[in-house]
Amino acid sequence: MKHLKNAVLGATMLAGAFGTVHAAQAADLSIALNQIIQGLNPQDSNYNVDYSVANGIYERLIAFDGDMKLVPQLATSWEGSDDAKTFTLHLRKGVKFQDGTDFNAEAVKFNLDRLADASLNLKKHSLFKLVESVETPDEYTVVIHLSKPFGAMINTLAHPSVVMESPAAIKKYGKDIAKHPVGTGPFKFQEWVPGEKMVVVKNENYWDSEWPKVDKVTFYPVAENGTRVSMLMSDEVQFVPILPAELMKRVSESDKYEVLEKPGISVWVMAMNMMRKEFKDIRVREAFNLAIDKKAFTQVVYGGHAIVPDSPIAPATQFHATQTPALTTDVAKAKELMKEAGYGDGFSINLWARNNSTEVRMLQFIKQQLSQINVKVDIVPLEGATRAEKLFGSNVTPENAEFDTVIGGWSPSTGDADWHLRPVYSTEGWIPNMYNEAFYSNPVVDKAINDALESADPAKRAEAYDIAQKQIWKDKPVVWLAIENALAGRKKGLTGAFPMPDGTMQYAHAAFEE
Amino acid sequence: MVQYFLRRLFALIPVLFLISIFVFLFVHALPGDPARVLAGDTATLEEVETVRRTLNLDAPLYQQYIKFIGNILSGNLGTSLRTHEPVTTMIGRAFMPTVWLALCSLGWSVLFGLLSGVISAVKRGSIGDHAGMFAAVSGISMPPFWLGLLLMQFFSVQLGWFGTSGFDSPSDLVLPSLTLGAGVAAIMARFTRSAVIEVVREDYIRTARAKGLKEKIVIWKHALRNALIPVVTMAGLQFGFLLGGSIVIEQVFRWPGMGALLLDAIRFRDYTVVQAEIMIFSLEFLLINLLVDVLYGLINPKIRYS
Repeated sequence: MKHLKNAVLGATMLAGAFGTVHAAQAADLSIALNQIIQGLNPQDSNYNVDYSVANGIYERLIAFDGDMKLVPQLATSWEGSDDAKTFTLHLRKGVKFQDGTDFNAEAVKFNLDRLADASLNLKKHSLFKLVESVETPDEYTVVIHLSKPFGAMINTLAHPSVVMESPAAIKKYGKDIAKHPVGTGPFKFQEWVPGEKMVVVKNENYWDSEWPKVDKVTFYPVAENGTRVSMLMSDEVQFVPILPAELMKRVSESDKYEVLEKPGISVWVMAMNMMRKEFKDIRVREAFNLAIDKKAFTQVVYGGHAIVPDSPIAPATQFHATQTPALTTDVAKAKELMKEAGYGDGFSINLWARNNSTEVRMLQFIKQQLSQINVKVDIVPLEGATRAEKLFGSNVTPENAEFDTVIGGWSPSTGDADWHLRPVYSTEGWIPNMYNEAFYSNPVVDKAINDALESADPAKRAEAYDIAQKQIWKDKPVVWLAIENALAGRKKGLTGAFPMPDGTMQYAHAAFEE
Repeated sequence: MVQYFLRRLFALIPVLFLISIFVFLFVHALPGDPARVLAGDTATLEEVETVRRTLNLDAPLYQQYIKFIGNILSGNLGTSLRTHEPVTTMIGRAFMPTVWLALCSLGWSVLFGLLSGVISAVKRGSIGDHAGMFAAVSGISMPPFWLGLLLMQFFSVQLGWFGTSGFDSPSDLVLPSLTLGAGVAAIMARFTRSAVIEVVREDYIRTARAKGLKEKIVIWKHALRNALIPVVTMAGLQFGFLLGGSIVIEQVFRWPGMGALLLDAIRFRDYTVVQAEIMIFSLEFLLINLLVDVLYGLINPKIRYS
């Protein structure tokens, strides 16, 4: 036994020694992703993992910093007209695409015209439906004209899908641009083996001579959570941008690795189908909100790595306003409200969610909590594609929708209140059109959401979003459950690679400390 | 014998045709709308409909079937709905890693299973027998993903002997085939043990012993040869399963094989890839069955084909 122990110890030390040598030489970065990459044309993708890897190859006109604040990238400054119909952007000079062609106003116009062209069937065309024309008064100025006021235009330009792709490359590759990406970013595309790995290398001609500081970045899609962590702990990767809370301890226990935690913008709710007579009654919706202990929810589901919502949108989302009263738990009051509404003996509902372990925990917790007010919950965990069809299938109507309540999370990729409130709470957003799963409809909210788009003036927009948030908070079409923190694991000494609140990640400024 | 083989080979054609109909209907009967999944998590209805149009998913089912069978007959498996790559390319990439993994897993597990099965049978009731069967039951019962993660934690993270995952060098085969073969080895051991115990009760074994043959020869030559028939059947069946690629093991070890490909294809309702993979698995099973039948004849010359 003692021999064995010594042998193991020796081998561990040997491995440790090799590990150190390896690390000291490494100017290369490896990252384990939680999903497979679908394609490398973000303009034609709805997947965070595609946006994440594209972040180093491509750049946007305007980007987000780590806290979802707008920062200049390929545009150095911008302004919107008072009527929110005209937006002018001033471009960075001296930028070249990785194929050597110039980045200028013409290139921006080419990209925006492409996104606005419905006939190309790009998935993110929907963000640019309102673009009427794009003008280029000089080589470094772009003016965007919209057919209707759209106050959220600047944030829309910062959406992770709105990257500037080389017009020459698009002409050369056509649809295949998704396999041959050419942008202005610090890393050039080198190789993609679908399902296995993707490699990018240093762009020697990057416009900011200070960057990049690593020579090569390799991405591995690794669906299994435990394997991602093992890869980090054996130094096969140095960054795991999505780390499940239950595996956090394994990373934080070691002094070679650290856990990064950031407030997210993904708000989890339980939507109550307001076509059901029970949920038409505000007292029932309020009782549900009071019966479920949110603090306990964040503990049970996220091990405490989440916060309790204080508005329909997350604090890091632009135009967030803290609402009063804050969410509380009060089972006695919930029972009273149910009795007043005529449901003292409760009723039965079904509750839908995906069948992953996190959402199954949510289901079980909510079932238990609602039993306190005599509501019998039939929990229905669904496989992803099945859930999508039953919930948002094209033939789903408010009348035939089969769910009573459903769990869902929404993260607005533009970082702007509009792309949270409109899809989730406006009448226009009713499923299957967008993601209003409660079939909630309030003219006050609809008007405020539209008013906010009429202006590009942040003060005016904030005023309108205040009204919308206040009204939704009062109407309670959903039970607000939690705002999940973004968790990542990283090797100590690595900087500049971090998770973003919207579920994507950044690695453009990755560097290993000497 | 050759004639028999050819006849059996031809008989596969109608079977495959029936399988193609079954697979097609089965895949399309799965709940879940590929347009919705492929459009992405935050797609609007408009984006979903665009995807449906561009992928031709709005065509009537019989037209889609005709296209599918037409593709197969022309030796082309179509293009993936998700990646727009030719399915033959995707399967070409995933096939060999799975074959290597299947061969390595089957190799060690059959060898180990046979040995320990025979030893257990001969030393029935001994401590070795109990220990062997205890290991076999553990091998069958242990969830493979857990065993995989344990091996990875010990050999890759702590000892650093192997890479955790992926398939970049032959040494990457060790941990996944240990994990994948554990269950098979256990099944083989149990099967061999009972088959040998059965056979040693036969009269001809008594005769062999009576005429003074060495026990070693009795067991390894006379008994094992007859015990092999059920064992070979089982090994063939297991090989078929292994070639299908283990979804769980490939997931845990980031193995770029058929199982991982199938899982992603199912998740995204990538019909063309799912259909092609199931067709290939069916063909593999049919061929392995045929091969097993031929092997019977080699093991036991008393079996004649007609």
